[in-house]
Parts: sequence; structure tokens; C-alpha cells
Amino acid sequence: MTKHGEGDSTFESRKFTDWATVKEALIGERIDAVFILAPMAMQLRIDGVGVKVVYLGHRDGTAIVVGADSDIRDFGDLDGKRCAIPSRYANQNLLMHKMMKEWGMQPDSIDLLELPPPEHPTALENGSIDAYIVGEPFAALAELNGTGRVLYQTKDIWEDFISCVLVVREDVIDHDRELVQELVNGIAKSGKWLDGSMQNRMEAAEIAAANYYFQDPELLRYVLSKPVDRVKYTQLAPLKDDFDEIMELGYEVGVLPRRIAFEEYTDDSFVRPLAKLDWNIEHLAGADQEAAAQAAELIRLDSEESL
Amino acid sequence: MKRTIMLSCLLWLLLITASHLHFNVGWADVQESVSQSFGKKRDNMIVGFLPVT
Repeated sequence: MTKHGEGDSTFESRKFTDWATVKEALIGERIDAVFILAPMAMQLRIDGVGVKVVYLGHRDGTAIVVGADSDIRDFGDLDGKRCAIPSRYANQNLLMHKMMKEWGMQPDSIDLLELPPPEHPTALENGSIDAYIVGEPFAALAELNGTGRVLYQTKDIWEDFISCVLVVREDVIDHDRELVQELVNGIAKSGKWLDGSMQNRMEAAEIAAANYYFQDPELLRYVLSKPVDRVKYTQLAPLKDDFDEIMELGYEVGVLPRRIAFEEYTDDSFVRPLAKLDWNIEHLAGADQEAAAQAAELIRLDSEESL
Repeated sequence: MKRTIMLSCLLWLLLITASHLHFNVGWADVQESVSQSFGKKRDNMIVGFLPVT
């Protein structure tokens, strides 16, 4: 758990390791807000849980990974293969169905297996799956270990892909709007800062590796730079067209039991005040800026070499 | 006798309530809830996440 905030407000982040516990914590009011899978947020609302999507966590940041020596060269080669997905309620699951439809494949032509994200790279390495689709850093992990190869980045197959969204309990929105606005402002500002320069991304990698992801900083530096638009932290307003597409897909493949209107599970009123926000943010507190500058310079030189 | 039983029941109820607040809820949360019920605005929020994008 870590704490952040400007002024008197405090935002405590609480790490979870599986989606079922997240859902229980939300229903039991042990957390006020959470970054959760987009179709899962819709399903929660259908189940009568009082939550609303107020903002996005990021865009893109997901990849389909196959074995490094695999003969799978395009999506069609996944026919008859076993592929891990993070959850039935993940947009990654819907993307696989979308792709199968686009490639003229039967909906059951790929054996989709639900596995917690950290287990994906190991399952690929030991041969129990042929491919996996997951959010970072678990796609980059297999690349760095030399055991996996990225078949597609989501940015190449579903532009501005949405995975995790910020969901807030409705009673918190009703009673503490200013606090929710402050949270959304913070996410928007850090996103803009993060997408502002490579040095900022390297600073963020150090901070996130030590305090949130508990991963090797090298892995997060890779995620945030190879390529630089592998994960994007701007354009985070929840847009009706994007969500309707996800909802229709979810209904079509049977993940959602009924259609649900955008307004029923979304409150986008926190986006408009961002237009008046003071965007000034210089650096993250506690980051080693010298190390970040060196890492950014190495990536710049590496990019020049590969051109 | 009747008064002693009533008093004992009341003390027992208080003890059980205090133990519940101490072990299951936490006095800080109790204080926060009481303040909010008197109109104080919240100044903290708990945000969950999974370490995956």
C-alpha cells in the first residue's frame, strides 16, 4: 500500500493479485475505486453493483505472444492452438473473438484458457499453451527472457485498445465528488507527464518497479520504451463509441448476458473539468532523475543504431 | 438481582461492541465514519489495482 496526494487529500493504492478478490473488495466497500477490466465493469453493473467507469487507466499495452521458436506467423496459424487469456471478462478475450471473426475462423477454433497474467509466460515456456494474450509487463517478460515473440501488439490490430478502466463506487461519487475529481486530475496529469518524454517514462519505470509492480526496473523500462507507444497514457476519457463496441462484442460472444447502455455504467462528468486543469508537473517525487536520464539516453542511442 | 442482571448484560454488550470495533473495524475508521456522519468531507480514498496493464 502506498499513499499519494496533493494538499490534504490522500490516495492509498492497494495491490491485488486476482480479479475475484478485487470484485469482493469492491462489493464489500473495502476499496473506493479500482482499475478493473472494462467488460468486468459492465458485468458488475449488470449484476447490480453500484459502480461507474469514470476514466481509463491507459490505452494499448497488450500483446499476443507466441513461443520464440514457434512456427506461428500470423493470426490464422493460431487455428487449433491453445491460447491463454487473463479472464473471460477481459477485453483481451473479446479481441480474440473479434480477430477470429475477421479471419473467418469459427468462434471455437482457438482453445482459449483463462490463466492469471503472471502465469502466462511460464505456461508458454513449459509448452502447456501455444500463445497468450495479456497486458504488460507479462508480454515483454517473455521477450526479454528470450522465450517468447510478440505476434501482434494491440495497437496494430485494435487501435487505441482499452484494457483497464477506473471504476468508482457510486456512493463515493455521490458524496465525495471533489475527491473523485482530484483522483481523475492526478491520473490525467501523470498520464500527460508520462507521455511527455522518454526521461519521464524512465523515471516512472523506476518508481513503479519499486513501489507497485515489484518487478525488475529493466522490464518496465522495456515496456515503456520498446516501442515508445507500446502503452499510451493519454486520451483516457471514456468514449461512448469505444465502449459500445466492447459491449456489443461482449454480448455477441456471451460474456455479457444483456446489452447495457453507456450511461448506465459510465459517469464521464469528471472529464470536462480537466480542460481547466493546471497541467504543470515536473517530475515524480522520489525518482532517481539522473538514472532516468541515463536510461533515456541509452534508449535514444539504441533506437538510432537500429534505424 | 434483576438490576444486577441488566447491568451485566449492558456491560457484556459494551465489551463485545468495543472488541468488535477494536479487532474488526479499527478506531481510525470509526472516528472517520462518525466525522462523516456529522458532515465532514472525506479526504482519503483507497484505490485498488493489479500489477498488469
